[in-house]
Amino acid sequence: VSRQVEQIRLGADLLPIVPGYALGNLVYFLIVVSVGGLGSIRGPFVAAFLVGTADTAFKYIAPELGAFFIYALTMAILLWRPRGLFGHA
Amino acid sequence: MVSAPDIASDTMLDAFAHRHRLRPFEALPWLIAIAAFFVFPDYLALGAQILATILFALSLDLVLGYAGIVTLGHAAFFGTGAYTAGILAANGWGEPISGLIAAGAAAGAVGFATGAIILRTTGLTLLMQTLVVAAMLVIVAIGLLFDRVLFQAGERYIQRRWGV
Repeated sequence: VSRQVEQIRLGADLLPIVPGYALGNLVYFLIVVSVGGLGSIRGPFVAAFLVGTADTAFKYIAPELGAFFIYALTMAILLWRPRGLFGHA
Repeated sequence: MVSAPDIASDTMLDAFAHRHRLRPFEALPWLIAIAAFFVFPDYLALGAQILATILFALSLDLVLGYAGIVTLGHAAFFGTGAYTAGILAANGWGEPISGLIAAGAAAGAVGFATGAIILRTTGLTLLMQTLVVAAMLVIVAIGLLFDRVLFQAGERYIQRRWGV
């Protein structure tokens, strides 16, 4: 296997290249940015940790409902703080 | 001196009189649909799908263009209505007009319940709230309805209809 293919395979387990793979992740990007808050770096950083941890945890706790709780959490946070956790007023 | 409500109602009447006036060519899709019913009787299923898509696009125009609500989750109401009619039909209530009314009522109920919560926000937050509502309904539909209700009911329907 050539060096280039090895480099490509490095992230293939996490982000496999399939047609339209970006659309599935786009929802998570939007959630991270809106929950974290527009116009800040720290906000989406914290939100990415929060969303990733909560998503995985809820999928372990209740596998049947899958990602339901992360959407409910996003809804609750955005109702509580419409500009995101670290968004500017 | 003109008070604020007068200005608002004048603008509204103006808009209804000029901008929202029905024009003759807007009857074209419905005339084509009626004509297709007689001209292509073998393609009624395809025609029904085209009509449903036209209505779906018009409903998005109603929400986005006329009401000004930016939404990414409009398909939630389409899906709610489709599932309502589908579950009713799978359980023996196959009458189309009452199924249509039930589908519209169910989608309206979902819109009323979610809109009462999420329409307090604007901009990106509203966009995300609509997206999140649609995503939650997708999970409910896949996780709870499809496996337990629709799949079994669909199998029963196929057995009754074609005996396989």
